[in-house]
Amino acid sequence: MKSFIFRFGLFCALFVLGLTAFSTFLKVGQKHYDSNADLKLRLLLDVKTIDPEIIVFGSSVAEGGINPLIISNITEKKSYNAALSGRRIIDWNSIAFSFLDYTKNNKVIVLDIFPNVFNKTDNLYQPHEFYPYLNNKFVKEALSAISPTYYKIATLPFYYLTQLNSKIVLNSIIGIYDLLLNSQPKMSEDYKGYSNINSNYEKGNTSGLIQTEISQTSIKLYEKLILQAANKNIEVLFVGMPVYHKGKPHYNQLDSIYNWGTIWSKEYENVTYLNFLNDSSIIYQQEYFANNTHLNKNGASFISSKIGNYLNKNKYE
Amino acid sequence: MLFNSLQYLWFLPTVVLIYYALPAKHRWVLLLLASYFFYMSWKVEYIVLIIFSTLVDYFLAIKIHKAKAQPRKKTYLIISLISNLGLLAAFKYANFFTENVNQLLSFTNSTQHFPYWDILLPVGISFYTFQTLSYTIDVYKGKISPEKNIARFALYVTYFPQLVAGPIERAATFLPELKKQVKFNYNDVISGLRRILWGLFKKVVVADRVSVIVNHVYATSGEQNGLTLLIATYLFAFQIYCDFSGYSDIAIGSSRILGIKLMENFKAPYFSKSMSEFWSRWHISLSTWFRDYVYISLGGNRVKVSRMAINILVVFIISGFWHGANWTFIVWGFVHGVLLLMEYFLAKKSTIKLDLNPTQKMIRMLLVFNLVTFGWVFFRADSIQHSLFIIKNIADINSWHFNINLLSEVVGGIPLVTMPKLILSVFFILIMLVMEYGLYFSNFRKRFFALNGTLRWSIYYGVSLCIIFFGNHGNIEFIYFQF
Repeated sequence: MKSFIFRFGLFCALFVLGLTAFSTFLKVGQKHYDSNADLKLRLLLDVKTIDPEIIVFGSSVAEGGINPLIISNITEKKSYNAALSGRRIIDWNSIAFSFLDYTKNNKVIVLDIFPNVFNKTDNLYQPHEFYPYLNNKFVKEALSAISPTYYKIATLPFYYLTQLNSKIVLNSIIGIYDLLLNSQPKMSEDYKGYSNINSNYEKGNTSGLIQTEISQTSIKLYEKLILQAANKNIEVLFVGMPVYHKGKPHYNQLDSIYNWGTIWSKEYENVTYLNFLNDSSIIYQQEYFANNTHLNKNGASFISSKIGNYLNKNKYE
Repeated sequence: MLFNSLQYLWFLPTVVLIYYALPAKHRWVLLLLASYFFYMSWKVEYIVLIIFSTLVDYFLAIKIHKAKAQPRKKTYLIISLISNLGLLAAFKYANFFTENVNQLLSFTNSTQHFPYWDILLPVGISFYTFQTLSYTIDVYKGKISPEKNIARFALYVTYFPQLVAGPIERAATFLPELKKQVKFNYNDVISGLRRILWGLFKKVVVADRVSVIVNHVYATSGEQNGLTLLIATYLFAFQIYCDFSGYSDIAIGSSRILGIKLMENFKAPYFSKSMSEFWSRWHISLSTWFRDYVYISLGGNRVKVSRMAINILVVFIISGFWHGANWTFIVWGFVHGVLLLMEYFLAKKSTIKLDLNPTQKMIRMLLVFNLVTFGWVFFRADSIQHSLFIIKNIADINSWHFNINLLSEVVGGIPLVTMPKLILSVFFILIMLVMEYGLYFSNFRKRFFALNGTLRWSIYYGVSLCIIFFGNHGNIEFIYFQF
């Protein structure tokens, strides 16, 4: 039995050692992979150096639709766009709660409302981007709430290796390569998290009705975020993002979805609402849109100016 | 508790550690407790069914043994059969019968309809009822004496490695295994671990990976074409084999670590050169059960050829029905019965020499594999109509075209199966086939053990890493749990 215990123990120890090395390689590599999302996650969950007076959370609609540089110019306040493409509050709440936990300077959180904003997310978009931060309590909580798989990923050592794919490995190799060669990040922080969509309007596949939903999980998360912001005397500005007028009929219950901004602005003292859904100065201008729901560079400049002016008028005067 | 779950990853080592820490004569008590815990971790209430089955067969076997008059023995045996098969009928087949009776009633314009029973099928019921039945029948036939210790008999019924999906053990060989005083044996433990590793590879790296394609294609058969349906059917052949034989490997391996031998359930069946050979290699514990307790009871080979043919058909239809309460399983059993009979009659008439050259062997293997795969269509489809639809579409060669996007669903804009993933799955199937061939038909084992330790360890690490990195870890149940 002694021989068995020794050999089996040695076998397992070497195995665990190998897995630890590989998993560390993946974590460090992914963390330093140079994408917009990775950079934001690293800055907000790990380095925690991002602490502007105005911060934007949300999805790609906000990431490409709200330009913090313009807001900063108008308000003369530091601002940062922490919105993450392809994600909704169920996914991105961890970075918002992490930010609220450490922020000392923040005054305003800007959140986008768009047609699919309250859809339930069963399949996390690009989950591996969160894997290097599994020990972060906010990430652990957010992932676990999405599915039991993420609960395992967040709580069991090496479990995320079972979700491994070529993309994770490739990202990690590039990340480690960049880290070792100390190369300059391609995703410049000068953009302040803003993702410039430099394209003309594309109609896309919008035949028929696109079903949207209002999941209670999303609503509760928004309300939790509002309350935590209130505890830190932070204002929350909901921005009802414009939808191109020809695209609007393709979405069901748009009014109900956008009405949540009104509901919250009435219910919570720290909430205000700026709704562009029916703003005729933008929704008929095709040159502002990259597609029905996403603004391009021009649209983002236009709307960011409006947000900046609104903040100047209502929050900083 | 699934064998491919993290719970089992904790459960088995804990049981093994305590097992070997206990004095040898008391270890079986731990196994009994662990087995009850194992079953109750799935659904606590259903342990009552196992206890019922255990008590009925324990007492009836003693009664049979003690009874002097044959009619009395027979009466006790019939009570045992009714109790066990009644349990099976109630929990597994009640809704099937209700559905068919209701359908018959609807043909007669009757307004009378029997209600359905909303009940969950108890996991492993088909396995443990057959195991206890074989015990009572063997006692009745005088092949074995009844077990006196009720707790040990309870362990015979509930022994966790083989409780929910076999192998279906026989009391004559298994009860002595449970009684023996096990000493820690290095070779047994290592061999058990190796077997578990191989079983996990087959389950999570082969079966569960291809299940993504098979499930999607069969669920969307209306949108598929003949080629994609054919691919899914071939993949299902490997899925079901790797799923079930993988389970058996883990069961046998787990038990071997505990020093208790379980019978082999699969012996590379897809390398069979005839249908009869296939059935001597596929789900051996069930096919021998049917041979010993049904086929031979019906007269076996010692009857007229026409009667023997009927016996074979009856056995295969019952075997099909054992697999599930659906006409598809009955047809699957019938198809296999017919294929066996065809083979029997052809072999009788043919003058083909028995010693085949490698090419002939290969052709026959391919033929048997394709016939078996044809049968899997009925096994996998939801209904007879569904199976016929699939067969009809596969036969329509003009409709064939390959499109990788048809093979899986798209989640969050990303297809679950891509060409590299499909190629990788086929690669793993090939590895599995080569390994199985090596294990059963060549001196692979000898060569493997002749390798030096470092190389062997590298292979173990390689297989372990494949399980972690390439396995599908979605907690997918073993297919045979539903039987």
